[in-house]
Amino acid sequence: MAARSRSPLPPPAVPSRREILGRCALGIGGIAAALLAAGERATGEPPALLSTDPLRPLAPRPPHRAGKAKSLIVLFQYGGPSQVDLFDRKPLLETLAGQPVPESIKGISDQVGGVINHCKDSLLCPPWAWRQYGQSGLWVSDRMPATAEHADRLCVVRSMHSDSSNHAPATYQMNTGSILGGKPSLGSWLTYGLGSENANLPGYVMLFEVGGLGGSANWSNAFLPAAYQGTRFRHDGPALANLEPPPGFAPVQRSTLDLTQAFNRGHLAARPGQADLEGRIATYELAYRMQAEAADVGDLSEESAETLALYGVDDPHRPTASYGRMCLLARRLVERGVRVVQLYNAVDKYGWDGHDKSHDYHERNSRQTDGPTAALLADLSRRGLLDETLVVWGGEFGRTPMEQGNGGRNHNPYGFTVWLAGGGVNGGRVIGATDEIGLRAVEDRQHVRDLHATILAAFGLDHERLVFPHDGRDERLTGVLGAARPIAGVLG
Amino acid sequence: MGAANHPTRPTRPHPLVGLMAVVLLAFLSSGSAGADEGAPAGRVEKLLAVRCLECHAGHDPQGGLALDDAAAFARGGQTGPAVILGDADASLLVRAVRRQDPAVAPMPPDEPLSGDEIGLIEAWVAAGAPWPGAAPPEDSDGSPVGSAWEDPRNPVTRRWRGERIDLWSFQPLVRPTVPATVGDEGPAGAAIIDAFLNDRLAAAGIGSFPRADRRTLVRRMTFDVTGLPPTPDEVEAFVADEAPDAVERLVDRLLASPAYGEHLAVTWLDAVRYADTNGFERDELRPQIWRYRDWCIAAFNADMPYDRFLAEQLAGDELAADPPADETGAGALVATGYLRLGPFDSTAPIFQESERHRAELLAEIVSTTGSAVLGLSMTCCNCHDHKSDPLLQSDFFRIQACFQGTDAREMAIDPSPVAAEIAAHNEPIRAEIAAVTDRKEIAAKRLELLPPPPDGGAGTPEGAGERGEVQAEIDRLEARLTELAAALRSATIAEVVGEVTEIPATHLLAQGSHREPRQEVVPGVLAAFDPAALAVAPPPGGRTSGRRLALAQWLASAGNPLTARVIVNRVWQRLFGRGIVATPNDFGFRGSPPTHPELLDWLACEFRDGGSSLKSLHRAILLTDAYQRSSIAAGPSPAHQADPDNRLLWRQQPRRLGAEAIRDALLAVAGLLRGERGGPPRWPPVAEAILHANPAIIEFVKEGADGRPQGWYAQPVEETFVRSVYLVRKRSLPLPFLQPFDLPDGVNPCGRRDVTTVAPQSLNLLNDDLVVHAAAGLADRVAAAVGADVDAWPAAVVRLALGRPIEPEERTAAAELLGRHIAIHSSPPDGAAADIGGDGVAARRALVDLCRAVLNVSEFLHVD
Repeated sequence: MAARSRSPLPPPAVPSRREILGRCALGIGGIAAALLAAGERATGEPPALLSTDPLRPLAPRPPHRAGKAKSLIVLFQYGGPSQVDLFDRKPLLETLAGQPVPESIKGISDQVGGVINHCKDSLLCPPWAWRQYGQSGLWVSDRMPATAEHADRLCVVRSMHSDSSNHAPATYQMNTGSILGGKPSLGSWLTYGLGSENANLPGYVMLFEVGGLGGSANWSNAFLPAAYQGTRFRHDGPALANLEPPPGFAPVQRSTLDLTQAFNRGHLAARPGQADLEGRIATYELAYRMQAEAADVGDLSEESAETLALYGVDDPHRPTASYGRMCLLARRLVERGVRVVQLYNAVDKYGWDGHDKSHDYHERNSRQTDGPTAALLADLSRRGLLDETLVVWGGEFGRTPMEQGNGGRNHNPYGFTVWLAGGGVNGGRVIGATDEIGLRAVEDRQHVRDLHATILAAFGLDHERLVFPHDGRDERLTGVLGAARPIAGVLG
Repeated sequence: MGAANHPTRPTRPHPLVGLMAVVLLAFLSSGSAGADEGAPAGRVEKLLAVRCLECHAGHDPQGGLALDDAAAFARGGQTGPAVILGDADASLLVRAVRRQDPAVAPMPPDEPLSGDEIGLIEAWVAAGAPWPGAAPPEDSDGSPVGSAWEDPRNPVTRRWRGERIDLWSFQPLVRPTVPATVGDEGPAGAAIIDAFLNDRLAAAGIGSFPRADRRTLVRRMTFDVTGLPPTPDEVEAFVADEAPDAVERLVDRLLASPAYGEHLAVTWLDAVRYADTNGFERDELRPQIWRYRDWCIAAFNADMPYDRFLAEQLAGDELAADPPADETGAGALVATGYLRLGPFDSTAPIFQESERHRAELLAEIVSTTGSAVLGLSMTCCNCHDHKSDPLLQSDFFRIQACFQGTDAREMAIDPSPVAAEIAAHNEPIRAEIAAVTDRKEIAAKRLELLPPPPDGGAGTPEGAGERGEVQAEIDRLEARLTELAAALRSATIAEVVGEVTEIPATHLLAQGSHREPRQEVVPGVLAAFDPAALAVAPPPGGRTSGRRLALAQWLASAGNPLTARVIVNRVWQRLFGRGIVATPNDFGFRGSPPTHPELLDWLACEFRDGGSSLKSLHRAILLTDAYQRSSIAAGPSPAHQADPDNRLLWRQQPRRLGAEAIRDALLAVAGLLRGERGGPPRWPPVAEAILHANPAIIEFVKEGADGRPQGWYAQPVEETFVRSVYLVRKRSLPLPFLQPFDLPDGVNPCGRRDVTTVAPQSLNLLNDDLVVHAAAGLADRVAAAVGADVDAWPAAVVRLALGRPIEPEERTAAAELLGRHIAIHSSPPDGAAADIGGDGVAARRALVDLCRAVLNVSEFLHVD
């Protein structure tokens, strides 16, 4: 295979006006079709063969236009955190606690399915106090007091909605845009579009004790090249799979590899110009360097006691120990130029998923995550990294204001909250609103596609131009269907 | 067919297109709102096209406003209707182009229209905005509507106004003239293929490479056909075989090997996104779906005609009796597993998403059949007419109607004689089970009625007295029941598809949303070829409607040129690394045009007319000069200059092995590959840290998951040393060893695997347990071959692993490694355990190191 460096970002293909005029006689439909097909024919090369440099798939590439964000950290809140318990205060819930859903809201059909009619006709009031924080006066509940201290850094989108009330499809959608899975994930698109700044580490790193429901499809490269898949980086044990020599082989690793490479160089010499063979040789050296680099990332001994305490990882028995460690590793990874880090909060398969006793789930998860989330924002900020690191917090959906089971809340894809910070995001801002009980997004509604378009825009990427030709379609993160737009007001 | 009436490139319009355009123009001009450039409507049409359609066209136009068809225009956009008929001042379109209303975005955004142009639009709106050419032709005489090329009433012709139907892959399949230059030596098929290729090379003035040497050829052919390396003996035998038919005999031997079907199955399983599990949240095992995988392998090895291969997958239940008459019928039922391969979310009902998911599954099987069989990207058509190819949204739902009645079933598939045998065998056993159960129940009753032991049991010897006798009787009966249960023969269960009796109506779904059904559609095929309803007749037995069978028959029919072109291209891709069409799943305008259109059609005709034999097709291609050419360029050649991407195949294309072949080759050269074929998937051990990060597996391990099979059922590693095609494909947890080598995800149909070179590949090959096993196995074979003679080891390792003699400089480097490593292993660094057993152990370890080094070399992973 010949080495061919091609930008993944083809310019929009527009036939010349003369060409269009020439086709005019065929009618507007014909012209539209010609417009759509013109790009492919003009290149003279099949779109599926376009690719990035196979020898350096992670080489940094410029975005479509200047973007402030250089790295992304996604704090994925698996299970569906309750917006009405955390970032979306609804005084009416206090007034109507235990009472039926107001008729005006009840009348709207349960379009996604199974959300409302699996709940009691009874509103559940959050049991915690709410306070206003910062210059912006953002209302945050007492479950997120540390994060709330960063109120003026947060851009809170309270009007998110999505297309499934079920964990795996909703998690797939939040990660890949599609409720069916099988599409490249956000992190894959970003590393495909921009490469990464550190050649010795994967460009897209996953941190979790328990990955999202639905498994590897959530960090899959799908039909993008394999270099853009999420790589799990473990924080307990060897950081990467097969990173270390097998037991007993460490003393001879380099020497063994040297013989392999000697054979490889001879093999290449007889096949000059065969790029994949050059790539093979380079990749062995990269794998060898990765061993040291990855170990270095995971070595927290160079962190100060103050930092360790800030993230809540100074004592392994703290509830923050696991999530805090992931947050700290996230900082260390972006510090080293890794493009995308995504972590999952959950230490079990439940996360925020409180169908019964929702308040217990929220107590526990906020105790585990609030402090480290705040620590990450503070630490990125004091190191001057926050301006170019986009931090996104959110789950696959929110929860119902109505009660389910015994003090529980059901999934809610109709209205939920995510927040963004850093990376050029306007802090201290609230976008959109849910109805008066917090069930449905009603003002400035934003689909997951819009969130994805926003995240790409923060990096200077146009979601309509970040495309990959696959089986006849120019696939993109925000889907070939449906209108997506960056959320107005998020980026400066 | 000659080139004159056989377009080979999409850029050259089909001759009928010109005619169509004339016909349409004449028609349009005769209407009241013709596309006459002088008339306002015609000028507006041109203006909109030039200044607006870049953004306001197609399915996802800016602001939701499409200006490319009458209906969309009438609907308007997100801010409302574009025009108020007769009232220019109130019309958003006019206000937008006037750019004076702050509430309306100025249009076009880049450069304002001229005053004349604005005036033209104002006048047009004031005149009621007559839509150019909106009135469709009428189906006046009620005669059947023909194909898109011959009948202007065909909906595809109408939809694209005569354009789009020049798609090369839609042109009829007509046998091309064989080049005059065809040689008379060697097998006829191969000679013709070479003539097609050589004519193009000669025309381009490109000289081709000579044949590869024997050693290269046997390695290439063995990997390409079987996915396995040749044994050193096979290599030497072929190298020494000077008979003129040596290559033919090699090809025939390889095609007769059961490994042929195993390797070809990988290609097919990719195309139909096979996996052993459901995917989604629970990702349960489909315990019997492996039968489909084995059926594919058996079908390929038996060289089942390709049309039959397709028909059984789409409609095996319509072909076979229930219960099936014989093994062939049983196979046909198993084949319908094809219709169940897609990801399935068993949790959908919990959240009342079953209806949506059912719609997704139906859509998905249409898309998969479209890409796997027709090489068309039909996914777009779930929501709208295809944007570039002559495919309608209604085509999608007409095909979907064929699948509408499918019903997933777990059923016994034993052929009736076997089923009768099983029944006969089981009947007396069941009778005895019933009798013994009765006796046991009576005994149990007796025991209840007997008085309790006088002292509550204490002091009474166990089993004494009447109680003891009854208890012993019960124990005997229970033992007998266990025996009897074990003697029962169970039926063979498979995961198959049947059909419901009352098939629900199929509706076209607006935007593909199951909540927005539109007009009803009946079973049909691609309207460009045949817009009529599919002729459907229930097969004998009357259990099913015959819809899928009718679809399968159309797929294989002379009226459909795609099926043969697509499969022939897939085989070509396997043997040259790239298809004649480089985009095997997209034969549309967006795909790659064929590099050798006449050759492709000749192959497709040969295939179709010659019994759809995949083995014959492989054989013909394998015997060509082109296939057997060297791939190695010693330096820059004129051919490189003229055709750097080797489109014209002046040499073979060097390539890397696929994921399965890499693992299989490691096991094979290590002597560890087991001969067992088929059966339930094998589960290699996977690190606990990986398993316990998978929520579905955690649920199974910690809570039992209500008995759902969503765990990881690891076996002792040696038991998993079978060919990789038999390893489990779990959608949420791809096998960590295979995955980095571009293993497809089992969710998307994959027509062509990526070939990437990434660090995790090297990490796996250096450090994975599997490679340690393989290195140790290879070391055993070396020791068995040449004993403890350290000097003989390097040559033996290279011969066994790479199938060739060692080069002097390699021998030197390998000997140095052995010396170095024997020293290291004899006096390990501080902290490591010293070897007990002296030099022999240290030497053995050094040999394992050498084997590990050689198993990592490029030459092992790549084929020339």
